[in-house]
Parts: sequence; structure tokens; C-alpha cells
Amino acid sequence: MVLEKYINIALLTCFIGINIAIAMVLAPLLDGVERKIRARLQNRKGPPITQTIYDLSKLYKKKGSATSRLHALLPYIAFVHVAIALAFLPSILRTSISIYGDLVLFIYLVSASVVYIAIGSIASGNPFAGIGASREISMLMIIEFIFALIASTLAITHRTLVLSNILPMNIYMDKPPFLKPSLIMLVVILAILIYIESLRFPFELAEAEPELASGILIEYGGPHLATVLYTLLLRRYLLLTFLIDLVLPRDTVASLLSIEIPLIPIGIDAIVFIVLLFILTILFSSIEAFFGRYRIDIALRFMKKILLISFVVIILALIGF
Amino acid sequence: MLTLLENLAEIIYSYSSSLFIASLAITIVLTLASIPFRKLGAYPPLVSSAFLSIVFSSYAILSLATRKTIDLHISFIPISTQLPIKMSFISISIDPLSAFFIIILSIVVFTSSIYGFSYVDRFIDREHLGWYGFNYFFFVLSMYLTLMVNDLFWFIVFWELMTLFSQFLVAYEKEKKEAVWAGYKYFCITKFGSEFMILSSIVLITILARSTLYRDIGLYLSSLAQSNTLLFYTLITMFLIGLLVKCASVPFHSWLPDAHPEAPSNVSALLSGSMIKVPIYMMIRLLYGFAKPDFFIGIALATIGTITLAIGTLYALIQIDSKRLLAYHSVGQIGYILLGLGASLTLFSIGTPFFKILATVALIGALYHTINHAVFKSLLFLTAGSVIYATGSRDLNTLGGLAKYMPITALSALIASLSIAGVPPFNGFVSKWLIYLSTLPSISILCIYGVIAMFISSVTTASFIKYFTTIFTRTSRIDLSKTRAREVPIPMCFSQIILAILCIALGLIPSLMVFTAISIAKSLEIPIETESIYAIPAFIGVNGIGVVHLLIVSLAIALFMPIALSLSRTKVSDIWSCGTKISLDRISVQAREYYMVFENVFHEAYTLGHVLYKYFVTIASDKLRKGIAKSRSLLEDPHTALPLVLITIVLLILILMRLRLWF
Repeated sequence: MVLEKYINIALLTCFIGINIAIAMVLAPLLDGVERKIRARLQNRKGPPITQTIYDLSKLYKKKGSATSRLHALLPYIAFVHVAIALAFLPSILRTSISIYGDLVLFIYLVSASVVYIAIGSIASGNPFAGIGASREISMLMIIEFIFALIASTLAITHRTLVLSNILPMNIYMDKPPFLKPSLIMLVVILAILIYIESLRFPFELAEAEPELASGILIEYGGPHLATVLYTLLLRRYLLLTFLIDLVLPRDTVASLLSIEIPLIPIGIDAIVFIVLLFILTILFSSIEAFFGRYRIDIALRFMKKILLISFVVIILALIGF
Repeated sequence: MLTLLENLAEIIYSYSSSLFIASLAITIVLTLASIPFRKLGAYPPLVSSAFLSIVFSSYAILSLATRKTIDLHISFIPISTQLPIKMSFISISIDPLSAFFIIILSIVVFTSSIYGFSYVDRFIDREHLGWYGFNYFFFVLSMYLTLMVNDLFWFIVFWELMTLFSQFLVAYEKEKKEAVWAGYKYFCITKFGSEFMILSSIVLITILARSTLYRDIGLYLSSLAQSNTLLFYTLITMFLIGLLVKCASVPFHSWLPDAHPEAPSNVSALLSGSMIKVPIYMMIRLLYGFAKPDFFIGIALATIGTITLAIGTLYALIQIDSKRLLAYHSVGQIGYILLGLGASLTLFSIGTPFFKILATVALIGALYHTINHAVFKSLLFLTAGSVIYATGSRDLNTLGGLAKYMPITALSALIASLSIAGVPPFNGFVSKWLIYLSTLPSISILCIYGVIAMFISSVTTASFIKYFTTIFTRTSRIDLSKTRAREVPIPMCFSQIILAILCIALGLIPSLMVFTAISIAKSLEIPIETESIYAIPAFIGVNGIGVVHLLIVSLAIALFMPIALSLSRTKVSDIWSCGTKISLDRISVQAREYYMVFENVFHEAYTLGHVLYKYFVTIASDKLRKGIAKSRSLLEDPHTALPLVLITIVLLILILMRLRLWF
């Protein structure tokens, strides 16, 4: 009995480890795909898909550069937070950690990584980093407001705050209209929110290379820079995974191909997941190619509009739609 | 282990009265004897306060561990039968609820007293330290006794003394005009207004109930709730308004951001960390102990809490004075506690099993946030005090770059900032998380309140990123090498380190607090849902949170080790300034510029405050110009008119009751 428990824990750890390890590889690859797509849309040839991995590994070999101890250390804590947040979501394998109220915990782990990178970059003392971080935190405040509305909508409709009970969410109702309008709106809003939070054009305000000379990244060098970049990439992967998990009915997908061989459903699952991941990335990067950077106040006004729309979502959910 | 504890408990019980009286007598005599000493007079009272905190917290821990009430009767007048109410002795009774608040108070008192040893150096040439010590000690003592008595008469006596001494401490630096003015405003709003309200309510309750003991009043009020609902709600509302003024909830909060920053920093820690928790204590006793959970009061309290946390924190975001920013955050964090309390009252009164579980979680969250706020807010005030001690400045626009000179202060300020911001491995996260868990899935207005609380938590984060980075990391506008900026003396560092460790420990072992909260709930006979606490899902969640926090800390340390080793290899580079030789302090981001765009985009949040300010300033200046105004104070600050309003309400109620028109 006790032995069984330990074996279960070991298996769980192992599976989650596989999830995180694949995420570590996939996140830079997705960035490579994005670069390729953007280049093709702008009539360039573009770097190979593995270019981001080469960049990161080269940076890790270099000697680090930072202006103070706090400045150098905080990106690593941000990295830890994102890695732990990954364990709460089923990705390639269906296994995930699950505790009561982990939906809120998940949101906080994601925003904590933003906070640590922001503090770290301001700690460099560079005014450009200060401007970039203050922009990022201004955006974070509104993002968290919308995230809270989304969490509350999910909690109202599913009567729980446990991610594994919510994912994939149940968008069907007993009587017409058969699809819940609040949850469909929620998915759209979440997609926009993820687009914003993953620092893409036109919301790439914290780095803003031509304007702020890389903003939050400005004083980092070597492994420290690589960790910040890696954290940003993993966060993109994490948020995309969250979106896919919300809508992908894994059980239905697996039962569609009811073959008796046990490993096939898992394989199908993983393949569908990865395909969706690539589709979303291609979609997001092609949207990105058509935009310039917003001014910070225009970006915030845009987000405020989304905020007001998400209030409609929670009110719809409260009255039962 | 348990038998050992019980034996120890027996011994302490048998000597408790004499120990109590002896420690009180020694410390009071020591304090009174040190009044005449102008320069050394602060030290004996500080030692006495630290000593009292140890003695009283041991009583409290004993009461919590054995789940018994410690009763002491201390008579100081020969018992006479003529007195209508039993005033001839103070009856001390420490039940788990008061024990919990005594522990909170003891943590703050112990650390800020030790901190005071060095901090009083600031005043040594300017002020009379004997009076500082006298006021400090009696302020601490009256707070303790307010929490310990089980008699409404003695409660109001010590409550008044608490306000009186804290007011003297606020106006301690008497050559500073702002300090004296803040003390006066504090007096007007709390003593003149709210305590009048509480006093009248208490007098009415005791006359009607014919007793002052908590037990009898509880019986009377619960029977009154059945027989005369209107009178019941009137009495409770009067009492609550008085308490809400004292804990600075929003319509009545304007005294706090003036009064708390002006006091010496360790007193600010006491005021924000523990004094505004005393009304919370009485609120729990009133709404759970005396009355049964009530739907309307719960909703009202949750609404006030949400408004308080939103307005308090949004105004904190625009502050540029370090201690004033912290004081506004005290208002905001009290809002969280009120929201948790109100939500639990509402959900208990609905009473279905699902809501009862949520209500239990909300109550645990409110109690947990009370202790967390005490720890991180007093730590923040102490670090702000250390910065004042080192540089003499409170202005976030000019400070900067102190992390290099004051590493311990900087680290503890960082920990406290992350705690109050609710970032995962620290304590503030767990209590806020519990409050969200109870409000978000409740299908009512409460889930909107929960969403607002979550948003405000990120505003708090933003505000403290500003607070920490402007003081400690950004390039300074002052030339630091010329000032005396260096690490503060050992007593101050010691207090900061203790509180910082508590911030981390309370985040890593959250289940301890859940046990405490549940034993408090059981002692108050609150109908919590479960036979065994393991059926509360949040408890399992809390354990999970503890594990996740441990995971974060251990992973961070595991990553730190190689990096800390390689840091010596890290090239410490100069800050890049576009290749030119501009001095960075000229172009560094100013505190008021951090979130200026956000404030412009969300200007609606500040509209009401601006309109009110403009309106009152126009009236005031008009009347001053015409020479109508004789009462200067009323016009300079319209909030000082609040007591008149409250007193009018009380008089109206009394007249209506007297004429039997209404009740």
C-alpha cells in the first residue's frame, strides 16, 4: 500500500519531468518557427528553426554580465516560477499536479515571473530598464484584472477552482442555446490576453528595441540574459498550453480512434496538442508581422476596452449563460 | 509531550495571577521612574515593553495550545456591593481569540521595542525621551489590556487610553507642524467622533443587558436579535461604525495616512501593525461572539472592505512619500481583512454546506491576513525608519541606490514588499489566496469583490515595485558617498531579520495558521462545516501551497548555489548610458512617473477624490476670504467635521429612544 503510493508519486514526478523537459525544447523551437514565419511574410529567407536554441546555448557558454547581485539573481527565480507553473498543466502527457485552488495559484505563478524580471531589470539601475519595467507592470495590472475575471467565470460555471476539474472546460448547456456564450467569449478574450502577455507586437513595449534599446534586457549579458529570454519563451509556451488545455477535449479525441493498443491514445493526444501549438504560434506570429508597436497609453486604453468586455462575460456567467 | 505541556500549564495557571501582577508592577514602576531622565528615559520603558510582550505571549501560546481560557481576577478596589456594575476588579480572560491577537501584538511590540533602542538616537538632542518612553509603554500596555479584558466597561476604558497615548506619540516631534496637525486630526476623528459612538452604544447595551460581561452581553444580544430587530441593528451599526473609523475603512480613513507617517517609525509599526487590528478583534467578537452571523451586516462589511481595499491601494499607488505610501497600504490591507470577514458572515448566514465550506475558508483567510499584515507592515515601517535613520529622507523622488550601503535593510524590505504584494513563496500570498478561494466561486456579488481584490493585489505589487526600486536600486539623486548612509545598528537589523524570517516561515508552514484559526472558530462556537478539518478542501490546498512554496524555495536555492559561485566570475559592468557621460541621476525614472500612464488611463478611479478635494478647497478658501470662518480646523480639513456628524446621529437616536418614537 505504502509502496504503491511511493511508486505513484515517483511516476507522477517522472511524467511531469517529461512534460517540463519537452517544454524546454519546444519553447525555443516555437520561437524559431515564429522567426521563420515572420521572415517569410516580410519576403526574407529567415534563420533556421533551431536558431533560437543555438542563440541560447551560445549565451550560456559566455561569461555573465550584470550590474549588481540582485540584478543577476532574480531572473533565475522567475525561471523557477514558470517551470513550477508548467507542472500544473497537462501538456504532452496528461499528468499534472493538482491541489485545491490551483487556478489562482497558476495565475500568480505566471505573474510572479513577470514581477521578478521587472524588479531584476530595474535593479540594474539603467533608466531604460526602469521605463521598460514600469510599462510591463502597468500592463500586468490590467492583465491580472482580466485573468481574475476569467478565473471567476470558470469558478462560477464549474463550481470549483481546481484546474484538473475545469480542463477541458465544459461549454455545453442542457437546453438551447447549447453553447455557453460566456465561455466562448472567455476563450476569445483569453486568446487576446495571451497574445498581449507574451510580449508580441503591438504590445512588445517592455523590450521595445529601437525605442528603449531592449528595455528590460538592456544590462543583462551571458547566462543571465539567456535565462531572461528562456523565461519569456517558456511563459509563451505555458500560456499557449493553458489556452489549448481549456478547449482541447482529450478524452473525446482519444475515443474517436478507439483502437485497442494502449499507447496510441497518448500518442494521438500529444500529436494533436503539438499541432495545435504550432497552429496557434503560426497564427500569432502572422498577426504580429502586420503590426508596429503601440504607444503605451494606446495599448493600455485597448486593454481597458477588453477589461470592460470581460465584465460582460462574468455577468453572463452569473445569470447562467 | 502533551502531558508535559499540561503539567507546565498547571504550574503557570497556579502562579498566573501573581506572575501577571508582578510583571505589571515591575514594568510600571520602572517606566514611571524613568520619566525624569531626558536622555536615558526611553530605554527602561522599551525593555519593559519587550519583557511584557514575552510574558503575555507565553500566556497566549499556552491558551492556544491547551485550548483553555485563562481567567484572572485582579481586584484593586475593596469589593463593594453598591456599584451597579462589577467594576471593582479587572477580570482578565484570555480565550483563543484574544490569545491570537495577543500573539500578533507581541510580535510587533517585541521587534519594534528592540528596534527603538537605536532608533531613539534620532531624537536624543531634540526631544525629551522620558515622555517618549512613558507614552510608548502605556500605549503598549493599554493595547494588551484592551485585548485581555472580558468586560465591556474595561474594554472602553483601555480603548480610550490606547487612543490617547497613541495620539501623544503621533504628535511627539512637536516642532514639526505636520505632526501636531496630524495628531489633532487623529484626535478629532477617532476620539471625539468614533469613540463617542462606541461609548454610547456600549452604555446602551450595558444598561439594557444589566451587565458588562461579554458572556451576558452575548446572551442578551442574541435574544434581542429575535425580539427587537430594529434596536439590534441600530446598536450593532453604531458599534461597527465606531470600530470602522478606528480601523480606517474608507469613508473614515483620512486620519490614518496623516497620523501614521508622522509618528516615530517604530511607533508607526505599532500603529499600523497592531493598533488597527484591535478593532478587527472587537469586530470578530461582536459579530461572531455576541451576535449570530448576519447576512446584511456581512454584505455591508464585504462592500466596505472592497471599497476600502480598492481606494486605499489605488491612492497608495500615487504616493511619493515612503511612509505615507505604506500608510495608504495599511488602509488597503485592512480592506482585505474586512472583505474576508464580511464574506464569511454572509456565507455562514446562507448556510448551505457548500457555502459553509467557503465561509470557513474566508474566516481562516481573514485571520491569516491579520497576522500576515501585522508582520510585513511592521517590517516595512521599520525598513522605512531605517532609511530615515540613515539618510533623513522620506521622499521617493530623491532617494535611491541604498542597496549597496544597507544590504540587510534592502533584503528585508524586498521580502516584505514581495509578501505584501502576494507573490507566491511568501506569507501574503497564502492569506490573499484563501480570500479569493472563498469569494470567486460564490455565485453572488462576492465574486465581483474577489475579482477586484485580485486586481488590487497586482496594484499592490506595482506599488511596492516602485517603493523598493526607488529607495534601494535606482541611481540616487543625492550623492550617497557624502551622506552618512550605511547599514543601521545591530538592534534595528535584528528586528528586521526576525520579521523577515517570520514572513518566509508563515508562507512555508501555512497549515499552522489554519489549525489556529479553526481552534478560534471552535471557541467562538462558529458553525464551521466539518467534523475533521481534513474535510475542508482549502486545508488540503493550503498544505499543497506549503509544498509548492517549499519547492520554489528549494529550487531557487539549488539554482542559486552554482550562480552564487559563478557570480565572482560575473563581470560587474557599469551602467550603459548611450555611450555618453551623462550622469544617470538626471535621467532616472522618478517615483511619480512610474505609473503615470496607468493613472491617466484609469483616471476614473481618482475622480471622486479629486472632486471632493476641489469642492472642499473651494468652500474653505471662499469662506476664509470672506472672513466668515472662525473655526480654522474645520475648514482646513473637512474630515474633522466627521465627529459632529457622528455625534448628531447618536443624539438623534437617543432622543428617538427617549421619546419612544421609534423603538
